[in-house]
Amino acid sequence: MDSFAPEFSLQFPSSAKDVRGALLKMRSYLGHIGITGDAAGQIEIVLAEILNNVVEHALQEAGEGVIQLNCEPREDMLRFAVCDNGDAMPDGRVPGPRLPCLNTAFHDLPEGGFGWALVHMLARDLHYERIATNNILYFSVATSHPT
Amino acid sequence: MQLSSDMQNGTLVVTVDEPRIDAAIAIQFKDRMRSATEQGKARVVLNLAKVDFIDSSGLGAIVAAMKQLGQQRRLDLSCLNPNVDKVFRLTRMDTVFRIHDTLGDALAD
Repeated sequence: MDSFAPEFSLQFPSSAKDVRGALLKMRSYLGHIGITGDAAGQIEIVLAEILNNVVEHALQEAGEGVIQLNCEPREDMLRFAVCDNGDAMPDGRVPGPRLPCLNTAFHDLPEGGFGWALVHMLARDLHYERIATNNILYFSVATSHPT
Repeated sequence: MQLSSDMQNGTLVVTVDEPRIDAAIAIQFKDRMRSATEQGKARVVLNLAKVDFIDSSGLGAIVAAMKQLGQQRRLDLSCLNPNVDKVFRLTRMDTVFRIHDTLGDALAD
């Protein structure tokens, strides 16, 4: 288990609309602690992909899912923990970094499968734990060196 | 989810009047694109000037909109904000779409 002292914390129902609300609150918190521009954009993409994955896969918009987002500023990065009460990750681990293949026929071009690739490109130190009926995903996003 | 569209020099310009194309509106976006483009055969330019955030669901919805138009009718993109442009570059979708810096460039192409 990560040692974690969250400075910013949100709890919200599992829906795409509530994820949007949480991202907007996070954006305003980031502005408040002086993180804007590219760094803020990267953080928002990573969080959007991870939180939408919870809504779409772990909880499948069941209506009773709850997501907890914690954030702790550290030197040159933000450390996050996302906790939900949904299904475990497939095979008990975080999906890999591969981008879907674009070298396909026109009608087979991918309409999804980009999310985890973006997470792996923009976040680091991903660590997943399943504890009883909860998922916890820890990850960090740099705040000082744009990718 | 608001889209507006107008014909300019034989090109159908569809402007997204929303700050975000995300998982909350991706399906609506695809449907509205279908309604906005179902008449005519003109090339389509999607103007993203007002969009400051896109996630992978939004990206998938734009790919779906392109596929709806079919291979004979191009969908180009214009005016990507830095955060939006980054998502296209990281996913290599910038190799699938023609991306123009300005609407003027898109219309001149």
